[in-house]
Amino acid sequence: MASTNRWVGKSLRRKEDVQLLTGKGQFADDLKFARLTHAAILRSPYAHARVRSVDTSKALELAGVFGVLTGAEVGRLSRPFPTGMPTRLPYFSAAVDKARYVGEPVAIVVAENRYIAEDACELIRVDYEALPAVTDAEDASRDGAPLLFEDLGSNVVNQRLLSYGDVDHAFANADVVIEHDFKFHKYSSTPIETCVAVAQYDQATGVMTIWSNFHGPYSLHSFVAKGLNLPENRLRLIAPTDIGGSFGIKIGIIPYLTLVGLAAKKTDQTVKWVEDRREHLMALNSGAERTAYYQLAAKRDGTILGIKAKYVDNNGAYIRAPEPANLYRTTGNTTGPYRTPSLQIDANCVVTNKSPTGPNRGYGCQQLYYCQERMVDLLAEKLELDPAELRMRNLIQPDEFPYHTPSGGLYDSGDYPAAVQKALDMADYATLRAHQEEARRQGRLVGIGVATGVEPCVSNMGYLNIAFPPEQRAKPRFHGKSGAGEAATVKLDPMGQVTAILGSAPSGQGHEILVAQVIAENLGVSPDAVNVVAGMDTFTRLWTISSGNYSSRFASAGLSAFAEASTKLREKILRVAAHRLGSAQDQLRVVDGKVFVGDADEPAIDFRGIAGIAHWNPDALPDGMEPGLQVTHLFNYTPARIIDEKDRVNSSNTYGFIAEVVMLEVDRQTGEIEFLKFVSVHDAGVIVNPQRVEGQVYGGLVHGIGGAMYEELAYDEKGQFLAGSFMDYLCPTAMEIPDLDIGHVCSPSPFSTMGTKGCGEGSAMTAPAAIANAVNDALAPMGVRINELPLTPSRLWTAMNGAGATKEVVLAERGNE
Amino acid sequence: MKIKGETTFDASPDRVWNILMDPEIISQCIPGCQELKEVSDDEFSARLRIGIGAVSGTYEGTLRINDRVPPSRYAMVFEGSGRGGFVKGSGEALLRAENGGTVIAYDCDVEVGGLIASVGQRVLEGVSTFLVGQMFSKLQGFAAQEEAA
Repeated sequence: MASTNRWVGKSLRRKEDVQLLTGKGQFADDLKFARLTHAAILRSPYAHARVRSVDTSKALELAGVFGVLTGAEVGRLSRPFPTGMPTRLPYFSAAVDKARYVGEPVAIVVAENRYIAEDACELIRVDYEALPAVTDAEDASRDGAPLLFEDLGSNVVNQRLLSYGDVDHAFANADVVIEHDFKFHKYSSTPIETCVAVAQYDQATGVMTIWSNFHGPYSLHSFVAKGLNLPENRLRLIAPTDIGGSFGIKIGIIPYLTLVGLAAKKTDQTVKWVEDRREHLMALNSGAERTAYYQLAAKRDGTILGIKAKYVDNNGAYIRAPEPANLYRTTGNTTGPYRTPSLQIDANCVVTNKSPTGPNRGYGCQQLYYCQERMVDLLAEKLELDPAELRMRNLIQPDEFPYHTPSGGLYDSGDYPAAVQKALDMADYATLRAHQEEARRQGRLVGIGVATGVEPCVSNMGYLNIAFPPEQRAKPRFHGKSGAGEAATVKLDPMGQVTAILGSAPSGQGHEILVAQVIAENLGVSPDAVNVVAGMDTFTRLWTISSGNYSSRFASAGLSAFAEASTKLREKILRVAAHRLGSAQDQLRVVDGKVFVGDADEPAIDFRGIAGIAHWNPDALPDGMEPGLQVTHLFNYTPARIIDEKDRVNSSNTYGFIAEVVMLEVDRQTGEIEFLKFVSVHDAGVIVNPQRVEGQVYGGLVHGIGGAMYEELAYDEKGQFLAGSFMDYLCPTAMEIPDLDIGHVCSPSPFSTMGTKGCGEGSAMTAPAAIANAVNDALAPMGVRINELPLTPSRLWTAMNGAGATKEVVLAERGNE
Repeated sequence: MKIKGETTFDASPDRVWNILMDPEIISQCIPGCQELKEVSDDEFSARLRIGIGAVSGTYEGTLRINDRVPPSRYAMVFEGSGRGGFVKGSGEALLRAENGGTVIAYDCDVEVGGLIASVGQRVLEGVSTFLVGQMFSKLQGFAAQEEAA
């Protein structure tokens, strides 16, 4: 690179900090509209009930009410959302004939203001016929369970048996086989900003415009259009400049875009709906609960030979795309960082009378690594090996990259032993173990947990097809998927200024400064000089079908697109300059927006002069060159291939790595956990802005700690939702977070333009595993094991004090040494 | 949720029974009861205003008395709904003479749904116990009056 400045790798501050810190952010709720009306949603108080009738007459009599849309009308006006699996479920944006979870919309009221709309909801009389509810996925899988969709005859709506390598051989030849069961609970994310949708329908053009904080994947644009019964070119989705967090849960289908859209169309009003916190907790996407049965085969020296696992995912009442991908997103990295040669997964997607699930930071990985890393620790216990040493023996070695996993993953790069060693060194592992020994002698319950995980970034749409069996995929009418792309536009404006336009809407990560740094690096300008346009508009931006702010993809897919676009623009700029100056292009260098020839001290021309030619005087351009200076680049990862006939798929495109070492103490009296050490080492490839990465690492860790110890969307056995406020749904605050020691190693990705990988999900995937391992290690002297989350004081106390411990203790174990 | 317990009246089972079966008295003893109407011999309709935690609202519903065996037992089924969600349940009350008074043993299975369940679950059992206690203490007042009369 000819530039002399180096911007990549510096901790520059976010461009939007000043606006946000002075309260001038532009969030969806801040947008102003003429003649705006407001909606409130009436929701089912029943987990499972037939909706016999909905009487809206009293509500319609209330002054200020413009209209009410009932579930039955939604059924008539729209089409069900598509589901990315062979079984079709009639999922609409409101309950058409049956309500299948507490909080499912039954009607939506449009009124002058939210107060009137809420009052009108109270005047709607719904005649429910309560039906038996089922909340547990395994209960729901049994014969005779209440059926959510009678026509289907089963609540198990997607099932795949996936086999990779010779797993039977592995188990037949193992020195030791261990078998354990795990439960991973239902929890969510807590963005400060809840969902917002404003919809406006233009009767003349037939265009529906929806302003919302949905931020992709824009593959779901077509799903929303289908829900609205509109052709795609009549649906315009707009996201504002600022989105107040998401962490995955705003990227699944948000049924409200459709529901509010239908209400706007029916009432011929511009309708705004803002989700309140209870609605958010009760009915927006959350991570899926998983019951898992694991068997692991190993040699006496600890070499893992194979894994058999049965996943039973509780996906709630409906399948909201991209679900059931919680089962499949991890396909390529199912074996994590280990050289496990064989694998069998019995994947089950079950509907129950709980709220529907969707991606939650880590999507599928927290469930996967929680179980797998517990298994590794249990193997270590069985073989009387140190758990860190056992991991070291199984790690993929640095000279094996790019590494093909048995399930189709193509790990781009890594040095897992170095990262684990770094974590152990940072924690001073040997000393921690010595301290633990000492503490145990004093009767204290001190435990150490190690966990590792491969962090998949930039999902390949191809993995979605795993929900279909190979014979179905082989049919000529089946259209397979592949790809992982992003769009970027970079322009040199008529007066020589640089503008960059995102193809996806950030949700607080600070993508803007990363773009400015990459462009500054490539064009030879200051990042301050780059105007970055955030937000999204599906009508005017250029985007790819997989575009969007999800799957830890911006630093790799997004920045690759900007690196390519700005490199192309640089070529164009230099071509114009070379033509103008009559010198060879390779003699030119750019510093601070000025072009120098050879070693000259004085610039020969600046960007303003070059823009002057390209925009204002195309006559002076080289022959055949387009006027203007703008480039849009559509980047696509080439390893994002279609699934093969053996169900192998490279489900992501770059793969980071995480190694964690945790030391904690469990209070014997109260069951409370106190962290004594928390080390987290990450490999996110080339880091463009260390401060941004640090923010993501902290966020992921806190989310992981929340999931491991606090957060739970609890239900009673009848399907009543019990966590409708922050009094009941506990989120960790700064007070609960220990000092975190964060370290990095760097294995540049050969597949992204600048060697970047993602880091947005990070320890949300591994912290629950590390903490659970540490807690179990702490309780080991008492002979107590806990294979459930969250690790609340009451759960630990109960386990330590016997009652219920039998249930929580290992359900089965066998060894055939 | 289970609401289960025993309470003692200083009155004979016959008297207690009559009090329990008198809609006029009952309506004065149920906390927040705004209206209790006899729809038929065994069925009553009611309107109650109750606050649980931050959720207060008016609930309308019905109560059906089954299996009356005066003066020793009856069963009931009730359901109601309002802004705060719904309540429904069934239960049984057993009356027995003891030490010159009457012991009522009650055992109800109550299902609470909607807003109350999602934000009030932590306080629900405490509030229910409190309300049931309040009702019985008023009923005991009536029993004492009648006894004196």
